[in-house]
Amino acid sequence: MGNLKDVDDEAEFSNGIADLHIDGSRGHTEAEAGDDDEEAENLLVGLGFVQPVEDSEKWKVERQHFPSKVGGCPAWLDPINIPTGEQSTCGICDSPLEFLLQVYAPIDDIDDAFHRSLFVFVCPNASCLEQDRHHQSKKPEENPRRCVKVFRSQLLRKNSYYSYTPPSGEDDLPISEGAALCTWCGIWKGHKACAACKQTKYCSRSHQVEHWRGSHAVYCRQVQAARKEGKMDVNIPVCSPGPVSDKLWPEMELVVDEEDNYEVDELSDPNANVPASDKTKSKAQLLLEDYERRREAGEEFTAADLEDVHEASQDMQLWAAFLAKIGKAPDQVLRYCRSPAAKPLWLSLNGQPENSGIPSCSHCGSRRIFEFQVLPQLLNFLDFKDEANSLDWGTIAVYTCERSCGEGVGKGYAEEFAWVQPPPE
Amino acid sequence: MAERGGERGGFGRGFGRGDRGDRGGRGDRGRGDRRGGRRGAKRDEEEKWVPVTKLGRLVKDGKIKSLEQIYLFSLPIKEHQIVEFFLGSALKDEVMKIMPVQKQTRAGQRTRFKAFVVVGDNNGHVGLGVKCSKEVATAIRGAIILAKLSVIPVRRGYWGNKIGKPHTVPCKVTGKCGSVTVRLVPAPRGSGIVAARVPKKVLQFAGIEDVFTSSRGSTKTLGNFVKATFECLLKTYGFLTPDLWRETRFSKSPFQEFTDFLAKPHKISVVEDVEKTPVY
Repeated sequence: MGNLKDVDDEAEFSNGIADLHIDGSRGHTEAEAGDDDEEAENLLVGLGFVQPVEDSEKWKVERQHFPSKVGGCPAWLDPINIPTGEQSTCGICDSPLEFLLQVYAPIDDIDDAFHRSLFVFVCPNASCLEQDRHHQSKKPEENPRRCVKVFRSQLLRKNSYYSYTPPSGEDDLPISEGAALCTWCGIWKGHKACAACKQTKYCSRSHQVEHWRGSHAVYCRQVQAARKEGKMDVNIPVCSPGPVSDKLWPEMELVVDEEDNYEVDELSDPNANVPASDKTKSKAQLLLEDYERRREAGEEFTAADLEDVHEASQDMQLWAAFLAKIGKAPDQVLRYCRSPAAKPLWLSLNGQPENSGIPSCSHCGSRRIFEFQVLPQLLNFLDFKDEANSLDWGTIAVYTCERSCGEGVGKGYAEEFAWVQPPPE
Repeated sequence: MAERGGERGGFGRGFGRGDRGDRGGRGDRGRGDRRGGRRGAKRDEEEKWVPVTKLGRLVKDGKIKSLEQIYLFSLPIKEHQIVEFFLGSALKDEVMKIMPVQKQTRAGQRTRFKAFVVVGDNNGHVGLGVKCSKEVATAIRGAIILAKLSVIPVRRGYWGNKIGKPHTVPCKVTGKCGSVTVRLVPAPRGSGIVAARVPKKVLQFAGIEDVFTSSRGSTKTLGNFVKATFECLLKTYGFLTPDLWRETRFSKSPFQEFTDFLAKPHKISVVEDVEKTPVY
């Protein structure tokens, strides 16, 4: 099945009247969306899926286990030189950014990148994301103010934070302590402290205020009272080490699997030695059989009948190709393919960067290449209380320094580039 | 789970991969050996839907009451599961034709297959999709998706007495595409669909049992009968017929409380009281 013997000598359907929708798209005019499959055959795509973490397994997402995860707080790779100041805040509304996900993505050929992680932060404000759209296409000289930021950190195998040998289990800890983090968000450095109790650390005034309104006011007064009396009462509850915020996104592990493992079996599967019962046949196969039956009974439509039925617009085809691709594993939330030849799976024609729109590495000047993209499916798992007003994206494509240079990482974290394609119209 | 990746001394590989040349650690899926892929396993066509659009997420969460609400505000439906969520997955698909198409290249001829698929629930929804691909199965799957994305609502009515279910178009409607005009006219029960082959198929799948059609114009130059037919069908909901002559009320858009969505211009195609729309 699948070999149609009656190949009529039909000339290629030359596009005529239907092409009222062709935009001046970038490089998509000749190849159909499906043609990309041919070019991409050499590239191995890794798919990311979320997996909830049991309480008993929370150790798995701690930094000494080099996790990939979504939500909760970041498991900083370099626990000391964490991004601060402007890097940690939304360029548009100035509030501290929230942690979206991190990907552990070492590079074999680069010793410096034996351990390598990328961290993605976003501002939870949907209106900031709208404005970010204008900023992301600005050149670096124009000082774009972004609300989606990506940081890269990498370490040699031999480093001062982790053991040379891999951790074996639950009880393994990193070999050194990290910097103190904000009690409220557990993300950024806690270099400010509560003036009253002097014990609780914060990354920003806004978080201090939120914690104060939450539980800290009570605790703080208790501490102050105890101090006055000259004793630290045993009964005073220790302020929880944080993060205390209830606004963090649900913490989940991010597991990887290869896209190849999800290929839909084609019509003729040589491995399928199963009897032809309807259940094991693919939908396409069943439809084709049904078609053949009707054709034999003489009910076919002619080419002339179908002359009027034109292919959909380029934009629609691109969207359909996106759906087809992710349809193989609909719950994927991330697509990883680090290669100069790799292209993100776009959702629509608009909202793609220009060829020159990806800035070079700000630290070493080499070009940036595509590494991975965050898909909109992730939004299903973030548990928004107010879905209609919440964040929405088509995809977030992350581009990183081709050399994965050490220049920016010397100070801890190198900022990389994220391009956000808005949701399709 | 055995620790692989000898050159990494037991450390996991995480997401590291790219060119197929890097396939050294193929067996190592990092932590969370979550699934062994689905090769050979039963293809689950009715997989759980994971929405990719905001409207999809709202629908799945049950925040949108009906499909009509979405149509009323002309919100683009980019996921076919949204339609099926309300219809109860009744969309059937059918391959109309597989057509081999050949292109001359310097290396010879390149044959691809063009699949034409019609989808419909025989109850007011129909769509048509075309996809060309070098493999038949890919073309079919692609055409199904495109057909489902092109689904439009079709309103049906009666020719005469309102006995039984609606079976024809509610009134005469005309649709135009370029220089081609198509007119659908209500027909009495038993007339059948009097139309050319492809429009007939579309009307059948939409659930129209009887209708007269007339058309004028030429397909060869500018214009398209099939598209014009679709334009007609779209108009069946755009018509305020006597049975809808009651007080119309602007109802609240699903997103009206939320200014971000309001900021985007929405076409209002039909103004009617959604709750009182006659349910056929």
